[in-house]
Amino acid sequence: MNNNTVTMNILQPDKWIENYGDMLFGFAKSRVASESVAEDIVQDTFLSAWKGKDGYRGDASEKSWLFTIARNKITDHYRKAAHNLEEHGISDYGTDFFSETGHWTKEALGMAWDTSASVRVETKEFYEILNSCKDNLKELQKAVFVMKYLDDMDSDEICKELNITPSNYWVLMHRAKLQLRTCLSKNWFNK
Amino acid sequence: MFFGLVKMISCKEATYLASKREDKSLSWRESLRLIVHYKLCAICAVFEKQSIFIGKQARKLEAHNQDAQLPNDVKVKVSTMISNEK
Repeated sequence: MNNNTVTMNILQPDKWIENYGDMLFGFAKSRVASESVAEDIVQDTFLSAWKGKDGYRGDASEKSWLFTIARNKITDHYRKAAHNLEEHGISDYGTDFFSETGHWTKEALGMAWDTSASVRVETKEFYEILNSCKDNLKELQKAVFVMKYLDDMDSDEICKELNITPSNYWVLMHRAKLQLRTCLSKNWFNK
Repeated sequence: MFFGLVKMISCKEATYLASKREDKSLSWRESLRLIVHYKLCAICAVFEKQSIFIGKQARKLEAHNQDAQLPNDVKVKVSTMISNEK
């Protein structure tokens, strides 16, 4: 057996912050509701990594090892938030946008957008607005939205990851979409 | 005659089916209910279009915030913590 050619991945903790600090912060910031939570997650990631560095076997790169730790921290954070779902009224199935008879409430009614060629959508400015609308979503709405569309997970995986029911998922996603629609209407389409 | 065979659904149920459809396929019964609902309700039909549009555009957003910078005080704090643990 010739193992000499295998280059083992090694950890360089002295360079972690310099090499991965901003990257991990960007990763966390696009997934949680506030910058201060994202800062805490990055901080916890580095600390856990430092404490667990003896367990690193070098089979993944340093970078993906750190990202896995960060991802787990974010999942823990989501789960804590999901634990209080009932307190936040998520359990009452869409009562804020549908009336008892199942019709749209006046507040939730939207308007049509002009998506014809005359309104250019796929521009840098549009994505900047969409991104900031997304960043303004509340915690778990942002979580389901990012997992679904940016991480490309399906709803079953998301429910499992967050430990929520399919109907919780639907309410969260529906609220996210309604809020994004309002935000895009206000800041882009009907500006 | 034909519509009589289809159970009428509310807007709430219609939007639920629309969001389910993005993920999984609907049964023919569910599809039919949605089609009939949209014939009668433009609000829901527009909402599904907008919802699909939002999803499609969101897929083009970066999963990372590229310009983000970890504030300096956090960097210093983490460095200090790590060197204290050594």
